[in-house]
Amino acid sequence: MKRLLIIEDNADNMYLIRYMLQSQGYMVLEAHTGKDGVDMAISEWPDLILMDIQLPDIDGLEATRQIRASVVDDSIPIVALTSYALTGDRQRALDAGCSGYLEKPIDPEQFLNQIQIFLTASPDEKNSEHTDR
Amino acid sequence: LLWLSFGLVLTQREQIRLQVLELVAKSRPLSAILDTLVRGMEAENPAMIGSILLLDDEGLHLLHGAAPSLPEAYNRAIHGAAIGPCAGSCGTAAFRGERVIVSDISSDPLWDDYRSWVLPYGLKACWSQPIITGDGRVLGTFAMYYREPRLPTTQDLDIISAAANIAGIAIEHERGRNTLTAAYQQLESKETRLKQALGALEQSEIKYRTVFESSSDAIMLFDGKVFLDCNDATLHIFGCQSRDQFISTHPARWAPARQPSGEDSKRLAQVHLDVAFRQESDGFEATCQRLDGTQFPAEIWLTRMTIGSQTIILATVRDITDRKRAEAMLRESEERLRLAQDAAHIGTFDWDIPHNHITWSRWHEEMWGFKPGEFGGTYEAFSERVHPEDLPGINAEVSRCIAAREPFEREFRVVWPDDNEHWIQSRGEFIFGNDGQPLRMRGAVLEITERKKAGIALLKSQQQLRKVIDGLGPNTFLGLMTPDGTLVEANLSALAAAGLKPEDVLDRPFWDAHWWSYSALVQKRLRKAIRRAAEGNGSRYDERVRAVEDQFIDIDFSIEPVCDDTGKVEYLVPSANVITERKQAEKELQQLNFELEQRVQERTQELTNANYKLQELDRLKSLFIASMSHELRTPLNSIIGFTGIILQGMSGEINVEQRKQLGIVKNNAKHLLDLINDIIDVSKIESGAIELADDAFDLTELVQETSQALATAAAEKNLALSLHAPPALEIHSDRRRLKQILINLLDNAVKFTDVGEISIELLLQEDQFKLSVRDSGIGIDAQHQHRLFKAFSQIVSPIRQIHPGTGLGLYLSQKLALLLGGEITLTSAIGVGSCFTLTLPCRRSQKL
Repeated sequence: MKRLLIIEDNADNMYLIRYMLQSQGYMVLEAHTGKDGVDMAISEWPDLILMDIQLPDIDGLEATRQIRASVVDDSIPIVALTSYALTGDRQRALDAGCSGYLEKPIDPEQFLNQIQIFLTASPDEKNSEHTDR
Repeated sequence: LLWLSFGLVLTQREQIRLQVLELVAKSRPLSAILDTLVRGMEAENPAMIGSILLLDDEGLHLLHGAAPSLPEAYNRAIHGAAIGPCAGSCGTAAFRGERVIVSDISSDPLWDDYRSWVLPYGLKACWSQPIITGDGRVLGTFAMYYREPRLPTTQDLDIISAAANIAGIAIEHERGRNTLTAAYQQLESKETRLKQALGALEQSEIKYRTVFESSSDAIMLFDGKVFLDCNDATLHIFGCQSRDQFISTHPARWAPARQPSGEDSKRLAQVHLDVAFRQESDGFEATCQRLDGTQFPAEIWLTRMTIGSQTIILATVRDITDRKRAEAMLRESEERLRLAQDAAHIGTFDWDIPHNHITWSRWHEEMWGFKPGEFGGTYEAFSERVHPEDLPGINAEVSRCIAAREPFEREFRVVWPDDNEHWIQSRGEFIFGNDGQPLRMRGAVLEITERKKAGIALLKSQQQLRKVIDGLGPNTFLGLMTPDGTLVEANLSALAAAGLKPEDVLDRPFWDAHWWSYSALVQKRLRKAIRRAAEGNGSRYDERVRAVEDQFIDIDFSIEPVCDDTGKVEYLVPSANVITERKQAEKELQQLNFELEQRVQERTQELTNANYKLQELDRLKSLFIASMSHELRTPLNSIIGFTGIILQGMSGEINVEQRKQLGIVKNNAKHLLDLINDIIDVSKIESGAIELADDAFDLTELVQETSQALATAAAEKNLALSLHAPPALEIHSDRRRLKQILINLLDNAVKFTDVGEISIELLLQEDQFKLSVRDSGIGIDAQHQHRLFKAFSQIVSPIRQIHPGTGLGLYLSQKLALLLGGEITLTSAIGVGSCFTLTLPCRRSQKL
């Protein structure tokens, strides 16, 4: 069973994502702050991390950097949940060490497929673009 | 005597001495004697080579004497060599007057200048003894050369001294003999000259006779009673055929009884003869009479002579008929001149200065209001009638002209007895004696009253003009200057305004005046203007000049040439107007301009600041919109998410009606999302915050992918969707934005087409590609086409109701197309359809 860590401060979003992922049989780990997310990533070594960028303490970019600087396997995909509104979020996310990004609001018809792709993608393809409007 | 002390000891040398003295006694030539001496000395001292050099009359150079064993070339080389403190052995010995011993020529510094002359002949040592007279005069040198370096022994020194002595005797004897010979020759020549003089005396007697006979003047001898002798000219002048007719006659015989003056001729002759007997000579003019009774004027000279014990008179008579005729003609022409002068109203004068006697011509007297002969003929008489104001000037000028030896020229007034003033112009020249004192002054006078009156009239008109000029006022300057820049006239008002007196500026170079002299540059400008004006070109320029109390004023200065009839520049007219006020106004205007400029600058700065603030506001607006959209989208996240989950049946079965209603929720949520996204894009573009990617991708693939995404929507409306594109078209661009444009165009096409087809065509044309989306929809009329690409503009409300949209799609697409370097164009017709064409520069991918 794949273990996915979701770092997301918005409870509704957390519920939506958790619901969708659990419905597909994934095991979902939850963190509501950046710091917790980093700690859990180090202690749990999930198969994939969904990282919201706007978090209350340290933001998703910083959290990603800390995870990438830690003992956690670099091959674990970290997928940023970026906002279309904020210019440059995508590139900043990739620069910080994210494997890819999904744009919020997530498309419920595409979301699970996209997660599946990240989980099976080889490390070489991590940085390619996987979503559009 | 000196010689004896050596001669007794040395027999051989004694013989040489005797031999030489014998030759001297026989008066043999000096060169032969000295030659004998040297040869004798050489015979006595076989290794030695002797040389005698003689000092020339100036005592500066050595001449060849005798050196039979020295090479001839060497003798020639040193002949005439100058003596000196370092001139070989002989030159130095002669210079010092003492013996010089050089034991080694090759190293002795005395030979530095001569070494190269002597060494080639193998001479290595040279001792030289000066030959000196009893009274210390150096006559020459006796030298002994050797072919190896050598120092003299005592004996050697004896020999050299002895030889020099003998040579001295020979040379002195020679010189003495020469002097005697010269004296004798002089005597002889004196005697010859005496003889010649005596011969000449005899000759002069003949010459005297010749002069007496050949003279054109009559010359006769008179013993006080009768003529004793006469020359041929006498006979000729007095018309005699033979001497008998003249000899033994009395002088009175050869004159008329009475002279033209009425004087008795006999008495006249006696008077002059008495004078001649008494005073040695006398000369006079008289009328003589020839034998035939005709008369002629003559100049007679009488000279007293004493021959033996008898005193006689030598008389010379010259016919002066021609001279008298010339004198008469001169008088006549003088009279004519006088008449001419009278006619021209020219009077003449002749002032005998030492005797204070003045002679005036008749007209001169008339000119001064004298009756003929009334003028007193003295300087005082002259002075009396001169205008009292003018007299001192005349006196001073006369003195000055005498001192400077210049001609006198003066205009002055004469006051007639009737108190009328007459103007006289007088010119005269002085004649000076040998002692430099003035002897005479002669000249002419001219009445110039008329001219003066005209001049005064002119002066008056000038004065009127002057008044006009001076009336110009202090702010205007008007002047007159000569072409060389000397100011000769100027209006007094301007001078006064500058605190100047006329003499400060008039008759001086204009540029030296107070106005200009404060600055070399200002002077330079003025001089150039004057120079140009003198060449005929006027100038006008503004200048700052110094006025009274070193205040400065601005003037508008001009200088214009005034030409005479021939076009030659005669005068320059400088003029100036004070423009300080104008300058001040200009300055104020400048100041105003400056202030205005500053205010403009300040305003510009304010505007810039405002603009900056606006930009900042704009940025904040964009940020606000971005943040707002984010906040708006967060709830949409849940709406769209959960609607999707329910519609997918993930949370349980729903009925048809529920599915339909949730579908409406989902569509409206998506529309709201599109709206928000478009607003974000617009704000990004307008704030310049949009970022473009530079991706390499296959455009054909992108077009296919996008058209497939729209295929479902087209199919729902039964619209045919066709695509024409090259198999692959690799380009560089922003893939996402390109796709956004494409989706928008296709979206619109589907949205506004109900029947027919939508065709997509991708064409590569040279360096650009064209992507056309053609539909068979409702079309857009021409008048609305231009509004199509504007923000929030949808065409006519009925359509809007049927075709909901953000109204930002085409606006955004066009903006993006422009950002990518291309554009979207439209061709459309109502009821036929539209064709949107995206044209983009084609940057082909380098990867493939």
